[in-house]
Amino acid sequence: MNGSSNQRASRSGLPLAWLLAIYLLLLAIVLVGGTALGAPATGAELTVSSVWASFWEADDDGWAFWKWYHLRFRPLLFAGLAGAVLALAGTIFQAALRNPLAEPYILGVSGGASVGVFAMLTLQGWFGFSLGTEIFGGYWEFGNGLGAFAGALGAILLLLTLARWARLFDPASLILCGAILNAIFGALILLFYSLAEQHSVKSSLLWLMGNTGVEVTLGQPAIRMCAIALLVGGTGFFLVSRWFDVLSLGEDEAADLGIDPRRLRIVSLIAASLLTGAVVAVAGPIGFIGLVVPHTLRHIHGASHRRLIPLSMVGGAIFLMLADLLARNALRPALIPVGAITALIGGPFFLSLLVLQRRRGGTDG
Amino acid sequence: MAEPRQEPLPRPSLLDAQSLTVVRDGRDVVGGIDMSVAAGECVGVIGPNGSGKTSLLAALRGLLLHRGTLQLQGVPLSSYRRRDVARLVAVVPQRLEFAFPYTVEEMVLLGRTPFRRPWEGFHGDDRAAVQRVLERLQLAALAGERVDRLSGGERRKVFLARALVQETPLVFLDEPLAGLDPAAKSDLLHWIQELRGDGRGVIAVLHEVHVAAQLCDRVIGLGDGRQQWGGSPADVLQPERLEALFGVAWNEYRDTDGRSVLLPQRGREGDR
Repeated sequence: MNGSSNQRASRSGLPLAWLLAIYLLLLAIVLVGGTALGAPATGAELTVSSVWASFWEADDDGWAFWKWYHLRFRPLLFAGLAGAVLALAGTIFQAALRNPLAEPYILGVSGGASVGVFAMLTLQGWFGFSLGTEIFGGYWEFGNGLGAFAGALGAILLLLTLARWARLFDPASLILCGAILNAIFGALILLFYSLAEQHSVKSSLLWLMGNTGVEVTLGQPAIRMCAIALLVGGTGFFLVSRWFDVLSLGEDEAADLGIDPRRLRIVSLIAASLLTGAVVAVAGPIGFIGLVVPHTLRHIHGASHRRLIPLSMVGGAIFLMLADLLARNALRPALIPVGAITALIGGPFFLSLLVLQRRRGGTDG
Repeated sequence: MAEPRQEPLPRPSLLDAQSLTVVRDGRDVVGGIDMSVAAGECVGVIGPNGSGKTSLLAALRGLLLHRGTLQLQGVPLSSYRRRDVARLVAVVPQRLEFAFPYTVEEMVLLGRTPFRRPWEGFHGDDRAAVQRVLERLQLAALAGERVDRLSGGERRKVFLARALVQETPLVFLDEPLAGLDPAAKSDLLHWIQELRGDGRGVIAVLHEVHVAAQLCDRVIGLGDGRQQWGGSPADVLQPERLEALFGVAWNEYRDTDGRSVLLPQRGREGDR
């Protein structure tokens, strides 16, 4: 393997604050740099220099800035927030299930949330009501959120019940369970899709493939809701990060070190599922971020959750922002859903992990 | 007025079990357990596979249910919270696999978990305690190494280090020598002896009868769902008793110091 001195340097070399500062700097560069790129939805040309120039034009009235802010900055910021939340959820899933392959999308939690959203849209279409509310100066699709939370919660509880019932806590079986759940949820979504006459469902294909663009952020308070979810979830999980080190050792060992493993596992999985639901409600199911990001960062910076939890959030933000930029620019003017990009990266990543794990017999990394 | 007692007080008992029955999934796994451990003592648990050794170890720290009397430091186990038990009992598990690549230092530091609220973080004295233990066990050079890349013997020592850092009066060892090569075995045996020297009470589930004879003050034998016997190794480790327990004949040899060494015969009685 690598030289041990080399290992040590990469693991305990830089303190967390420094690492975070470096990653946050990267994040800022991607955010600012990214807003200079990217096809605006309107099709109008928009560059940093044109925005800058518009400040000095008396007749502009800030129109160019408005466009830059709403068409570029907010969507990219939202991609960052969504990526951070999903990577955080993935980190928690992996620790709580002691399974380096676990992730909310792969285990069917995102799928469950999607079913919840579709069910809500269909119900609202049938009965002609809409659960929405004015919040933070935007129209918040309250119904979507409610459906996503209920669906995510239902999916994780179903998965845990199945796993407990059939004693499927070994990594591969649990993943298999998730795959079957995903197939069922996919069928349910198709069912709702064919039942629906409502425009809102028919037009949701882009959402269903995962989208963080201006299409889902314009006029929506989604960003602030997501930011709140991230702040609450991230702070909470960071404060008890040590527990996740202990929990990831297994149930008996966790108990021997003085924590209640079952309660912590259930509570943290439910919390991580609700975080996932908060993203799915707006952006649809975006997969594999919760797998790729914590995995890569664990490999570079070690497994300690004191580091992994904050670094995963920043890393997830950077990852999804880059994926979003790629989705918008790779086949310009065609728009690829960002979920397709993350799946194209994450799918092979997952398969290679699976192969490596099988060949080495257990340990990740 | 009563005379003050003249004879020395008996050493305080760390763990006391009387007519204890271990229950797993609603079924009695092993019963009739009578054992006690005092500071500086080592009690060995032997028996064939499936006799409930590991279940007993789990029940003694509250991971499985039990009937009967079970006290830690004179207080019923059931009245302790998880965190309090973790300050009394440290465990060196049998398992040697890991889902995630923690370093030796990170793994050992987790032994301080019962002493800190999670949001406190670990203090300088926690790290100092880890450093002391790593140096004592000659693991300091491996501090930054990934635990999953160590040899079996080194991994066990890492868990032993974690148990030491936990600073508990009791240490449970679940088949501490299983799967180790002779050098690692003798090294680990040395450190288990040191645990007793520190004044800790040790309960060890063991496969090797001759190790139990060397290491333990008392040995209990489990078989057929019950404790069959218990007592000092010289009293209880007799070929007949072992044969009844394991279903295989035993021979007694003498080592160069004249101590008794018991080893199972090659075939079963009926095979000859």
